[in-house]
Amino acid sequence: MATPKPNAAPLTLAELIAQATGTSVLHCYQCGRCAAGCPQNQPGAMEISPTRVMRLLQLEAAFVDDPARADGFARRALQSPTPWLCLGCQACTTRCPQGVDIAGAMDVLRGQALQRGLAAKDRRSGDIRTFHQQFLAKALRRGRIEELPLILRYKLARGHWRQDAALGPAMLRRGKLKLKNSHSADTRQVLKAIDDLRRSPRGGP
Amino acid sequence: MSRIGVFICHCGENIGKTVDCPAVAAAARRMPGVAYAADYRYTCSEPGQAQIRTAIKQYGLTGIIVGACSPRMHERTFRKVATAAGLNPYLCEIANLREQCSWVHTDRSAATAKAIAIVRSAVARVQCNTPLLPIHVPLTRRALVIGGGIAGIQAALDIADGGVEVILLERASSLGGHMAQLSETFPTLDCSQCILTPRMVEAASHPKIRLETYSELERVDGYVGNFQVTIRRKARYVDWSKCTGCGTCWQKCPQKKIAAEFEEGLGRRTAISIPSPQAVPNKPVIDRANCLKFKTGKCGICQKLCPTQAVNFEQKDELFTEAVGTIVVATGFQTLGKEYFELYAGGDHPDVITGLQFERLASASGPTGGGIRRPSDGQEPRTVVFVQCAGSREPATGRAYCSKICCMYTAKHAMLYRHKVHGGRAFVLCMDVRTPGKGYDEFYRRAVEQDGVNYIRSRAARIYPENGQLVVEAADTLNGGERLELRADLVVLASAAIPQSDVRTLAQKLGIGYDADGWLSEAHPKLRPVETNTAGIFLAGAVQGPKDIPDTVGQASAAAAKVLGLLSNQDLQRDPIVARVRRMPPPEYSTCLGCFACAAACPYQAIEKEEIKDRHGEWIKTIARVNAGLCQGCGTCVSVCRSKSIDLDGFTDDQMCSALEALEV
Amino acid sequence: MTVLGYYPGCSLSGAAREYDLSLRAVAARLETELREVPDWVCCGATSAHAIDHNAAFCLAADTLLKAHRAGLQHVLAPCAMCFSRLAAATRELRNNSSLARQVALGLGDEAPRLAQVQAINLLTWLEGFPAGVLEKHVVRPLKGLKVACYYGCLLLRPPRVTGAVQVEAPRKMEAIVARLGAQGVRWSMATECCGAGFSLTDKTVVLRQGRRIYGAARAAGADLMVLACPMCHSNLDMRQSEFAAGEAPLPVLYLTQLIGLAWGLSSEELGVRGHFVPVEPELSAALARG
Repeated sequence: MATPKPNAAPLTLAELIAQATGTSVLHCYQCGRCAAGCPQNQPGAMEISPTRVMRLLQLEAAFVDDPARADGFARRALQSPTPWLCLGCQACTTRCPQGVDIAGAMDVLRGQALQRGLAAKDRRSGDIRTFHQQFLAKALRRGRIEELPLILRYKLARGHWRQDAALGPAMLRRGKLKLKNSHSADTRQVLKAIDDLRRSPRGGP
Repeated sequence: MSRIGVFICHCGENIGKTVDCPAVAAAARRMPGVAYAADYRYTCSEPGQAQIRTAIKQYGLTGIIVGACSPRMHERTFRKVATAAGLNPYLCEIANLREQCSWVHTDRSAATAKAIAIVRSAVARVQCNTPLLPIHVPLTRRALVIGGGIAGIQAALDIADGGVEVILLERASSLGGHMAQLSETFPTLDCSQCILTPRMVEAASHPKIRLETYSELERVDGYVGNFQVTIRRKARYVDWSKCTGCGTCWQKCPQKKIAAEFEEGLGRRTAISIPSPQAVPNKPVIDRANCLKFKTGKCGICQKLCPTQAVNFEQKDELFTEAVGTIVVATGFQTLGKEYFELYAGGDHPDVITGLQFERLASASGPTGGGIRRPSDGQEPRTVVFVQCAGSREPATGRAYCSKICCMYTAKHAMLYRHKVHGGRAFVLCMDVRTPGKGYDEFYRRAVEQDGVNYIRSRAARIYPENGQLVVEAADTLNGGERLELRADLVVLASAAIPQSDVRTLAQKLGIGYDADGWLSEAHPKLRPVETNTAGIFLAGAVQGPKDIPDTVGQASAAAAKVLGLLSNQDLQRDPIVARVRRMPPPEYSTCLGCFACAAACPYQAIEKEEIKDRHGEWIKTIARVNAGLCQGCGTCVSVCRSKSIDLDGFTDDQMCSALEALEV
Repeated sequence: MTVLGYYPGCSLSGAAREYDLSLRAVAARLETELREVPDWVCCGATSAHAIDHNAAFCLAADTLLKAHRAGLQHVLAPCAMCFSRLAAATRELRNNSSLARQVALGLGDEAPRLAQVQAINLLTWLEGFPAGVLEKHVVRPLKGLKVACYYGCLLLRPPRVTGAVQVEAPRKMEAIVARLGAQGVRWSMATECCGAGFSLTDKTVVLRQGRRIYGAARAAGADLMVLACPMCHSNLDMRQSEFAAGEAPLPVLYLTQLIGLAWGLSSEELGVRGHFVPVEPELSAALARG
């Protein structure tokens, strides 16, 4: 896909996904296997199934000449909690008869939702998003993750103090949590590489 | 002095849109040797052909060029036109202005310039052409049909009814193929055995059909009209000329627990056995791998009990060669076994079965006598889930094609299940229900509307066992992809139709083509659907691609018509495009040095040795000679000949060099 | 002594230290020196690739670079998540996309050179030992022990990253436990995701998936479960009292721990005592039954 467009019109989500994963959501023929095997596609979890997300992305691409309509479809995919509820278990990607990297598409949707300020507003999606952001920030800053500081920081941001309150001491007793940060790694090279990418014309955000 | 006619075809807009055809004709008119040039919208139409005929006569043309589509398409057409006007057909050449020019270019002036160059080249070439006469080769009025399923049976019967002798080759011990395994057939629900077995008997008793079952094709030599086929008659360990088919042996054989191939593993057979009671011929073979006599040296009960002393453990495979004029390939298909489907309960759950296994369950002659029982415990399943597109339409696992027959047979299965199991629930997981065919969509709707089959538009994800049932993960894609977990007692996979595992070997023996999936290739997908690209070899049935019974029978009859048409000739005329060793008057006779590099290079074994002797019979030299009957005109020998002693009629060095020189602008 | 690159990842340095302990104990007996990648960085786990493809790739590529500079060609990543991230980065480097070129450049090296480093998971490492090697250390044969081998998601999926052939009904781990005398049961949830990534953020998922996995292992008659992922372990062991309250405990062991137990290594050496679901009483009882 990805015939370069004149006048550098913004890429569709389908095109961004093709760049990142090397597979095209336009190949999806709506068989529903991803939805059928997704552990999160159930009542109380996903409202929009992965199959339907693929359809929304196809519709955005189909109506690319009608920006208002195309944007409507893109927003429905980006604003949906579905990408946040995706566990990244890769069952859909593994089984897709058309070879579409559906889990990879969810990665792109989360990144784009954040960039465009469209990420789902519900509490649960927010919790998951905060966790991912804090985790990544810490990984980049210290080079290593330790559980206790990560947990405390997350709870500080989102509440949920009562949840699993009893587990902490039990884990401490078993030596599974440490009270202090005890190790780290040098991430200067990583940060520079990410920064280089950010500056490069094509490398992304 | 040459008087060449040039006819430029617009091919509607195919050429005319990109190439300025009148300008090409005008340029041709100025080329040396051209006496006449014209353009026309459709040269292949009757008025277009009439224009050529008239011009040949009126201008006394000595050669013609038609600037049109690929020679594969219409060279034959225009050579016939030349013949009709009294011109030797090999003085007509095609300049390909469509595939090699207009279709691959967009710039009109550049394309027009290229078209003129192509025509100029062809004009130069045709001036070197010489009249050629077709080659006559003798013909064996006898046919070989490979495969004894419904396709092979139908083709053999039609050929035999036309008065031509047929050898019908089948590798199993009985005729019948897959159709013999089926229960009822869509869309009429008539019993498969009831319509097939009479045809099997008819084939076996037809005076013009010689049955060779339990036999396989070993090798093929020769060419259209004159094939020599070598057949391996596998050791049966039973002398069929003595055997009466009484059944004593297979009733008494102590090895009774062998999974029966005919029952798709759901039933058992003995080591000496016939595949089914309806087998034709109704005579057994011994399966050496499972026979106690062969395994341990003990037993031999069948031999002791046989009232006609037909059992012979010493029998060996026999090889014999037959001459036939044509070959019909009707070796059919197979289906993916359930072990292929790791996602579906690991591929080895007894209650996940394939469509062919379901046919055996539903068949009155099958292992359950027609009762729908699940293999694990013999219980009648209360809920059955039918999974369509199992392995089909799945590029990620290597098969992008639709198996074509499954939508209909799944509707039939669900319907039969609903008829046989009162109150049973049937679910079909489908993607698209494809029912093009007379009475087909009505049949499918009947399954839904009258027989209460529930269709759910979903591909199955995982299937796994739980509490004695199978959980089928599905999603209702007509309802946004809502997850549905179906609990089933039996799951039936409409597993993909795939080529026979050894079809490529067969195709290589026959010298015919196959596609990337392994289906044998027809000569043209629309206009030559039963021919192959090798003259004299035809296709019938699912060996060419998945097909239902009506299509298979139709194609088999078409192949038979092709066979009869070919064999109705006294002899065969072939294009005289063959290699020729240049000869000279004595004392040289030929520049050929007798190195026979050509013989080593020839893919068709068409090079022979010729001894040149003087009038006293004294040997002078040995040179190469081309057997025109075998030569296919590929030109390989020409390119390897070090002394330039071979030339290819119709593509001589003179013709090719003139054509190339004319291209240089 | 064979030298093998070692990438413990954050978990094995923290909550899953018994995995690290047992792995080192097993490796020592297999005469393998685990040489830690110098100054390795966190793989970024789910969180990195979930929101920032570039950051995820850079983190994993940095570790590959450090391994490469230390002369390590194969790097054992016992954590399924770490393995998946490193293997995905290697694949991207091998495909040598423009992104891979840029990242390699940013890190100060070349993509094809970085792509020489290959992460391997625990199963690939173990199955590389020829017949007899794992077997000869066995002093406490696990005969009669029924084991549910749990693969989870990322050990095998997606196959284009992991190179696994059988992903839906795998038998690799079963083959390894069979070499200890135990029997891997056929069960239905071996590759179903346990949801551990949401342990902190959406506990309902973890409990729901944990319950399904536990139930299926029990229904298949398993005495215990083995796995090769710290996240799965923390979920299925630590939360078992929640999703299977009042039901029979099902010990959950790292594959390396089970190997160590069969080889007669001590509970301390294998870190078995740190589990929430006690191991030794169940194991002894099962072996007595068997």
